[in-house]
Amino acid sequence: MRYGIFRWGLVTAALLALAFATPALAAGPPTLELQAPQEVNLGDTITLSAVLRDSQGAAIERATIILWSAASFLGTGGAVRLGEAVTDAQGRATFTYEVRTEGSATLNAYFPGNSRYESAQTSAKIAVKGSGQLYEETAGVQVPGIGVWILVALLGGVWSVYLIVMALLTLIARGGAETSRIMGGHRG
Amino acid sequence: MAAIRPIEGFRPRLERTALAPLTRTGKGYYLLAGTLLLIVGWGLYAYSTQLQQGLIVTGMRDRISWGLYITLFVFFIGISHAGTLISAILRSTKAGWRTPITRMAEFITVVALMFGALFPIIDLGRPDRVVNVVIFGRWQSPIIWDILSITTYLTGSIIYLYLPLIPDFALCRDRLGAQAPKWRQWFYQVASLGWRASPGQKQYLGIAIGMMMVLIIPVAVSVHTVVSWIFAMTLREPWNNPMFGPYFVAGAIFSGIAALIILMAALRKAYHLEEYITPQHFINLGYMLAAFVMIMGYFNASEYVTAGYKMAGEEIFHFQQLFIGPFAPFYWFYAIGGMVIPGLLILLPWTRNIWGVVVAAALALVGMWVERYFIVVGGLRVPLMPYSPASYFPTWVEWSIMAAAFAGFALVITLFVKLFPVIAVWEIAEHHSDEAVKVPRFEAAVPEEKPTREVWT
Repeated sequence: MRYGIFRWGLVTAALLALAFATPALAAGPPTLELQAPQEVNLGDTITLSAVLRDSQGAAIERATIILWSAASFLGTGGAVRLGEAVTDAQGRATFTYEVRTEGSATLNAYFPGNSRYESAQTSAKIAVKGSGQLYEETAGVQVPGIGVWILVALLGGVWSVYLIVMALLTLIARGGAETSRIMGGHRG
Repeated sequence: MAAIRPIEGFRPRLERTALAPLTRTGKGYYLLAGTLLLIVGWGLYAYSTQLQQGLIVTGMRDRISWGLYITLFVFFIGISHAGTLISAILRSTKAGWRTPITRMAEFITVVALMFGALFPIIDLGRPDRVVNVVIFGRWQSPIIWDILSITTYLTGSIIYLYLPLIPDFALCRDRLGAQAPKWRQWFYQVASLGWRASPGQKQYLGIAIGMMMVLIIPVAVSVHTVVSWIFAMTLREPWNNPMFGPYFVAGAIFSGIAALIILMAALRKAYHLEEYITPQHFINLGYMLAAFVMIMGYFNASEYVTAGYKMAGEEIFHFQQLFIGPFAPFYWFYAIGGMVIPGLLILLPWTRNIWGVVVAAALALVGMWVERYFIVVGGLRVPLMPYSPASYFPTWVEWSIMAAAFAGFALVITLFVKLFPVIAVWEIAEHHSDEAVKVPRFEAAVPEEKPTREVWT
């Protein structure tokens, strides 16, 4: 009976020790590599891969990688989170990104670290070719055949009536001149 | 022994009354014009301050970016509908009683449009950039529709004001003669287009007026509909209302009638037009005002009952600010002072007289200004994100510019009164002779004194 209690006590202590034990950190910091095309066209949707390896070069699986870039708006700057992905068995996290800034863009991949690995960060610069308006209007109802011509037709109709009225005014003026001429003739 | 005064016929008396303001100017006129000019001058100083220092001198900021200026824009465009309703609609329905008041209505339209169109430009910190709207504007934008419809309406209204003036310009040309300064003699000569009232001229003028009166009604309706779409097509919950078009048009006609009643009363008193603008004119317009009180009440009930029943999203905030919050004094003044009381003043027989109608019109006009204020500012105050609501209060610059606009409006009317008759002489005379033919009364049986030369009717 005594041995039984002792044995259960040992098992419980072992389980508690396992539960609160701090796992040992890996020997060195992991490496993070961001693979991105060097040159893209504005508006392209590109695929980026972030590969996470430990100091021995072994792939780190099931780690969350964050993709971000720096941005500023109305005098306020900061990191804009573009997305996050989890590494697969090869330590690869894949992202898709639509390039919407012309010139060059710097994209950053960040591994925040976990119980075994320290954090890691890397960046890649891509050159973006081209320029132009990327925004496409999707709001509203698209009725085939309806366009600016309706506005032009409406306005054209109204202004045509104004022109007709102007023509009538010239006829009035001409009629007045004619009457004056006749009246002048009669007087003469 | 008192001298026997010859009985003056209707037409000479009408001419004398209508032309009197063009030939005689009292001290009161100069005093009024001077006062108005001073207010306009102060407003120009306020605007120069805004031009120098930018919109920071106004109460407008990033979250409430429209205030008094856009309120005034909607208000002035609204009262410009006076001309359309009174003149075009009543003319097309051949309502004979309209003849003494059409000129004033058309007048209000043109002057109100001129002032209304200024306010979007005043609202710009950089007025020089208004050209960008034309250069870079996109036809899909309600702002472009607004510019196009307002310019079209202003042009149409000027033509519509001018056409019935031609015979009256001829009257001024023939009757005033040397009494008018040289430049005015030249002006009447040119503006009358050599009017001799020949059958051909009468026919052409009739066709032109007929075309314009039919056209100007849809143009006017389109203007205020498009003005409402500037709000309704913006992503703001209180403006998300499919009824905004007809609601704004009804409000515009309502305020237009009110403005006309006030102008009628002022000019009737100042220029002794009692024979032509009778109490019945006020009562008729009062009935129209009362009808629009009911239409506006219906629109309001329909809007608030449907939105209030659901109370979705930001409606809760908007309803609270409107009915019990910071806009409650405005809303309840509009509802009671601007709608219920004017309606009662007109419908109750004890107050259905000139004073009652004028007070009702004044209250309705102020009420409509207040309504435009809480539509514009209240709509923008509803937060789009979870931040505390912004506040807006107009600064002295905005109040001064508003005062200058009202003074300028009155000043232009005061000056124009000196240029042409405020009542359409030839239309009144024509209507009078038609009535005399239709109803053979004693006075019609008496042959009237005729002008020596029938050149203006």
